[in-house]
Amino acid sequence: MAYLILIVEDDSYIAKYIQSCLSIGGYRSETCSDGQTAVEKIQTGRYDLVLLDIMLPKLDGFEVMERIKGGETPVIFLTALQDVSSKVRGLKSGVDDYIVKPFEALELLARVDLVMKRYHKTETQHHYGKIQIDIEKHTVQNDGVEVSLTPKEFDVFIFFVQHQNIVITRERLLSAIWDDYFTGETRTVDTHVQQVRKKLNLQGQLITVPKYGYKLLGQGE
Amino acid sequence: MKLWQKIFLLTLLLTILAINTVSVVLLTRNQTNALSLAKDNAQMLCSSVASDLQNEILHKKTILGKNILTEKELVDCLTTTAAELENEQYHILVSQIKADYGSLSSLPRKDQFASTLLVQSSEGTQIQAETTTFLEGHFFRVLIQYSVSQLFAQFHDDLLFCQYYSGVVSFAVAVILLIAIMAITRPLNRLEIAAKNIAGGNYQNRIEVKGSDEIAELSKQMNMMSAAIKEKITQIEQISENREIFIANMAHELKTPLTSILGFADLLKIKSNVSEDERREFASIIAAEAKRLRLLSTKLMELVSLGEDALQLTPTPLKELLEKIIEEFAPISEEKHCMVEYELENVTINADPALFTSLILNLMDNARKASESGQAIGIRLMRKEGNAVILIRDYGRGIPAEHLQHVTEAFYMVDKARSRGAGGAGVGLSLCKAITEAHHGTFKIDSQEHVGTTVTLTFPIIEGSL
Repeated sequence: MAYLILIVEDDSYIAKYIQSCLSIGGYRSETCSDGQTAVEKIQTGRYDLVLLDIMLPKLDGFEVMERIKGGETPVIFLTALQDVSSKVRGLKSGVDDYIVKPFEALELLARVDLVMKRYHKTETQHHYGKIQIDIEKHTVQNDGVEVSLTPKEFDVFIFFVQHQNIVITRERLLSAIWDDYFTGETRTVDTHVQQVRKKLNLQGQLITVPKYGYKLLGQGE
Repeated sequence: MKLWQKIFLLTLLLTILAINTVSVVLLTRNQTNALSLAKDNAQMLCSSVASDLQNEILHKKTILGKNILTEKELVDCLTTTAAELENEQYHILVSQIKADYGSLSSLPRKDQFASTLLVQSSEGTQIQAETTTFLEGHFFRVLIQYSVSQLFAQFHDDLLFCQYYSGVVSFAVAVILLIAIMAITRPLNRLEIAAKNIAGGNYQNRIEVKGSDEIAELSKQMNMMSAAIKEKITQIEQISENREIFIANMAHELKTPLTSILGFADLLKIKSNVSEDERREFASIIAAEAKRLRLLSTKLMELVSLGEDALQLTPTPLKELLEKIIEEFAPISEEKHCMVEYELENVTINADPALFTSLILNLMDNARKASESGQAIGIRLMRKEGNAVILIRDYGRGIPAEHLQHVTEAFYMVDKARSRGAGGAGVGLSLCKAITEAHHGTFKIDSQEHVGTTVTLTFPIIEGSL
């Protein structure tokens, strides 16, 4: 089941970029370029998430929020305004998160994933080849045989499975899985990735991309 | 010490000093005059007494039928006469001078002024007038003791009275002065409050202006000052606000293309499988947005430098310059099949050729963008009422009325999608206006939706040129 996200952004290049980002994470998306149309679309209830720019023609981001108040669709603000008062105003208006442009693809995806998890039942079962992953139970089975992974190894593996075919840097893994408090060595990341590779036999698939990071090759691609 | 206190004390002290000085001076003068008078009296008395004594002697001699009186008879006569002539005011002493001849010649005579002396004794103050008279072969001294104690006593009384009186008057003056001064300086308090208000940022209050003295004048001026400050501050706030808006807009216009550039570059980096189409598409977008940034930064630099440098304006024949620009523009206008129709008179103005070219090209390009294929762009240069007037006109989509007044604001775009798509950032017209004004000209834009747009530039002609 792929989620449907509405992108409300008047700059067509940026809208296209966001669509590309979302497709990497497996999300479907539609775009619209002004506040009024956005309100109409959101009120149909078809969308699982809305990415909303603030500077829009006809109605700006804040006015759109006013009008969809009480609705059930989560909203993330995307905007160039990074001053504290705008952020506060944004969060006060009821959005679920606030991302400042410019942003990296994986950063956007991480936020989207987080909000999705909060609002919708996300997939509890994932699979990669013969490997079965149950997120609720926190178990991994390779061809029916249970494999024991530490909590962090589990998180690392899930991350790769959810972002296949993308080069992921050590820094990105650090901030996604260890949060930013771990300002230490990226060596830890290396150790964990190697452990996952070893335990699940992914030598040919979870590959090292020199100078960049790691990549989990996609299934059948 | 406060002003009113200073004024009060000073005035009071001066008043007291004046009153006292005048009264003391007057009294002393009186006293001196009186004493002088008394002295004269004493002197006269002395002389007349001396004469009287002589007469009495003659009289006595006649009565007694003698020619010479004995010493005893003489003294008796003199004593009696003296006693008769005395009164309470003055005392007469007659005494015989027994001395040797040598010193006698130095004594005053009857026909000389009697010498006077002011003597103070236990009985009071007296003026003593003395003269010498020659009677019956002997020298007698006649001494008048003229009492002036009364005068002195009066003087002291008067002084005392004066002090007492001046005290009373001073007190009365003090009271009146206090009330008067406080009444007059009260408006100063109001001024103080008004000044405090202004310092505190409240420019609304006006001081009541009563009368036309210096304080009223000052109040009036303070009111004017308050109004002027308020106006200035409003102006400054407006400028500051405009500046903030400009910077916010600029930041936004910079961030938007950056987001695309960084975003697509990031995608190219991390995606394993990028199709040919995607690769080309992403790269084009990156290039387009980068160009947009370049254009924006160039325009911004121009805007900024316009504000700073003093332009080098030189006499420039406009007809030739415009012909050159139209020629330069030809390939672009041909591409869209837009004919440039022009009519140019000979006019010369002071201009910076490079900037002026930029201005006209900008406007012509705007005209081109607004026009459909096949539509004409008109340029007219003429001399009108001592000015050079340039008209640039297109018959394209026009600008809606509600946007017309804003189009020269930096970053304002009537239709963002289209402007950005054409590579614009909304800075063009504000730049044009700035360039025009830097050339001491005026910039006017008229437009009607779906009919067309005309930009009118007016510049002063150089005196005495063709």
